[in-house]
Amino acid sequence: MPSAAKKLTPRTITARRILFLLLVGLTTFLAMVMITSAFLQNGITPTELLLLVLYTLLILWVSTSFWTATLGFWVLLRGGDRLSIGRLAPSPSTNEGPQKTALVMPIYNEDPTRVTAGLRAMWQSLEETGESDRFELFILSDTRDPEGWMQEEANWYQMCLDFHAHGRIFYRNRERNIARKSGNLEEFCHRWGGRYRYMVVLDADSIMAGETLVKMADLMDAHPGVALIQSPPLPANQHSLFSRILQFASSFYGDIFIWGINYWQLSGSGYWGHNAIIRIAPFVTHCGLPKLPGREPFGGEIFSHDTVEAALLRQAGWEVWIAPELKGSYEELPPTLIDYAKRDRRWCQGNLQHLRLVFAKGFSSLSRLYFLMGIMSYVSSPLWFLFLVLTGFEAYVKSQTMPVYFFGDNLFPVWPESYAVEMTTVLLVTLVMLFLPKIWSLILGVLHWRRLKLYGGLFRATLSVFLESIFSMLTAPVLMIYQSKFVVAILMRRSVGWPPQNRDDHRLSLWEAIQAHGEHTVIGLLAGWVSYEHVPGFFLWLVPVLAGLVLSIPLSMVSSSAWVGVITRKMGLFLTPEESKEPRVLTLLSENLQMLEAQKAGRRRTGEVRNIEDPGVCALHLALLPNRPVKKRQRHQLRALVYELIEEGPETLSGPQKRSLISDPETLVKLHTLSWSDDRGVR
Amino acid sequence: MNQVVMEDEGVADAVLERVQEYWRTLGLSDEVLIDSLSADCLSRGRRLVSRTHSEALLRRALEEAQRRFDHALAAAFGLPPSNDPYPLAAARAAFLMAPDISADTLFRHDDTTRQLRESLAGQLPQSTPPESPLEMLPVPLDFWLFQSTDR
Repeated sequence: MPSAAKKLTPRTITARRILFLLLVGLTTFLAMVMITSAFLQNGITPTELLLLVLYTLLILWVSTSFWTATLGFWVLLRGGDRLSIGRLAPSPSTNEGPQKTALVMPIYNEDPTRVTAGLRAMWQSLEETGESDRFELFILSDTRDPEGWMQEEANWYQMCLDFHAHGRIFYRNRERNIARKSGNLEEFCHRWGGRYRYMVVLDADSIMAGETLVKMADLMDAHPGVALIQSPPLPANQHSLFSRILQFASSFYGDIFIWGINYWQLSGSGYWGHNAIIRIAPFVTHCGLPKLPGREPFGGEIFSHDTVEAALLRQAGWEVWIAPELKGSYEELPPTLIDYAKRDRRWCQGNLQHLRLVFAKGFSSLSRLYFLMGIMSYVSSPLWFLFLVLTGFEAYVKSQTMPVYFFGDNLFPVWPESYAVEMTTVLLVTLVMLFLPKIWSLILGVLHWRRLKLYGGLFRATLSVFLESIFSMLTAPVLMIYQSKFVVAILMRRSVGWPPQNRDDHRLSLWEAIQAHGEHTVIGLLAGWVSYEHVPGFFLWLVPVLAGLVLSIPLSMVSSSAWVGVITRKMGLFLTPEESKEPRVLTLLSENLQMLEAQKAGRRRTGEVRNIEDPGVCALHLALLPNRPVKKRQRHQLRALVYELIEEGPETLSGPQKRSLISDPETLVKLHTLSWSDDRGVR
Repeated sequence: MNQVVMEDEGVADAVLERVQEYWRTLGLSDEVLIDSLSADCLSRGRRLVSRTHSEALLRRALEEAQRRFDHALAAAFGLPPSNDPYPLAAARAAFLMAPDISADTLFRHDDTTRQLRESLAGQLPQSTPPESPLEMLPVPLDFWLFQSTDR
């Protein structure tokens, strides 16, 4: 530990948070004063009052993000923060209790090949550190698909064989999916929690370098008051244009936001649900999640459990940190705009459910602020939408009376003469706050020349920033409409369920794009026509929004293409350091993926299958089934299903029916024999 | 009558071929052994089903193959006779999924069986460690304006 290592004091925490809130509050107040002074010229109308409220909320949201990034920029300009978890002085700790760390990966109907490739890469990377003895790996499957279930088991056993890791890599498939991912983890803690000191929670697409895992465990050892350390996961390993642009944005701009978050949140930070290490004892004591009264989407099981778990840990006096200096933590992004929106739908429901938790007794103001920020990340979309509609309406009303804001060939709104400067300033301030973080990142890039080279050098990085800005400007209105719809649907109490995520590259067809974006195109054309006809001056201001909507079909199709993604990579655009100089763990992931895909192709060629027909896979499945007595009634039901299978074929059985068949040892063996005694080769 | 006999022979050949294929999938490579075991399984199957019921014949022959394989495996692993299917299933999985092991060894009854048992003993699937339970109770939440959670 360096001699400059500091201790964190409550005074520093308070001072930093006050500074942050002052900056955000002052910015919002100034913007509000400017817009109010413009509105007040001829007495404020109800529409203007509503616009003022909306603008205040939105500018508050924008300035929160802006000041987080700006504080992060300032911290990085000064060479980092001495009050980050990696630089704080260690505290004395006892070495009692279990020593090991469990790497836990909850999965649910994921691609078994990708999951296995990722796990293998992480395990290999851990072995390369020479400290893999400190860890055990748990695959916590909630997979319902029978074939996927058996493939997961086969892949798990193959891993144990290949790495001589019997008794160190584990697999369990939960009989009943209760409470989704949080229930899955809870069941793990309930059954095996006493065996481990920490657990590193992973997602199905998580990749973490061995040295990062070791470092995280070391940090927890050094700080016994810390219950959770979140590593900032970087998106990587995707090839479509859409995900490459997002990967670049996260990588290039991410640092300033992460350091900014650390600056003002410090030991009261949040949990993002994966790629984080958790001290099991306090987690088990304080993070058992209750069912919220009422039905979904606001009642029932807590969807976005991570934010709530972090709040409960903080409430119990434990520290929760984000570790900006931790590298080697990766995740994958949805490959298309549509997949991204689908993921948003789930997250949106989870975050809106937190509305009730804002009113929970006992939580700190900071926790309530995080809940509100999560809610605002989705509610801001319908607010922006409403703001645009009302602005258009107001512009129309003003154009029918005096003064006129938009007329003739004027590019800028003609506000009442004495307030034109204020209104333009408000607009410019908003734009500056949205785009300045990108400039901060470019400046940091110039200052750290070697790192900038990994983004393709100054010219390509600047061009990538420019193109990414245009892309995000065009996709923002589409996401705004999507998220607005999600918020309305959830407020109307329509739940989303628990669909698995699509993580594979796949190019959208024209029909898929039309189905997904047809309404956006129509909205764009209609809004364009109405504004052009009735408020031509406002139309010009609306063009960036309209362009995104009107072009949504081709934009979504082109950006879903892995081929275009690869071309831009060859051109050196949207490059990330992970692409320029691949980290070892990602190389291992690629190698494992190639190997597993080749094995799959080989099996396809020889007609070999890894399901109930394979005696080895079938025996393994049988060996892993829990020993449960079957009641007479169930036995009869299973027999009836077997007859249905023989007579009607497997297509007539539902997923749960197939699962019940292969969950019973006796029926399983019968099915194995039946799979060999069908018509092939006999008649 | 002759036609029925010929059809019956055709079915028997097809069943035999399928049983032989099954033995190969179980890891047997010695063709003489495969032929002899398959013939035994077929004749056992014939005793249990009618002559023309090809699917039932094949099923019975396959069940016999499974029985013989498990018997050899249990003997090789030194597993006592039991109604519990799990230890045998674990041994079967370890044996069948281990790379480059010939099942011929199981039927040789020589020293290689002991070596095989030793090499596979550490590879028996152990999907979960012994449980080490912790109690994780739901935390009650009280709300202003809303109904609180159950206690």
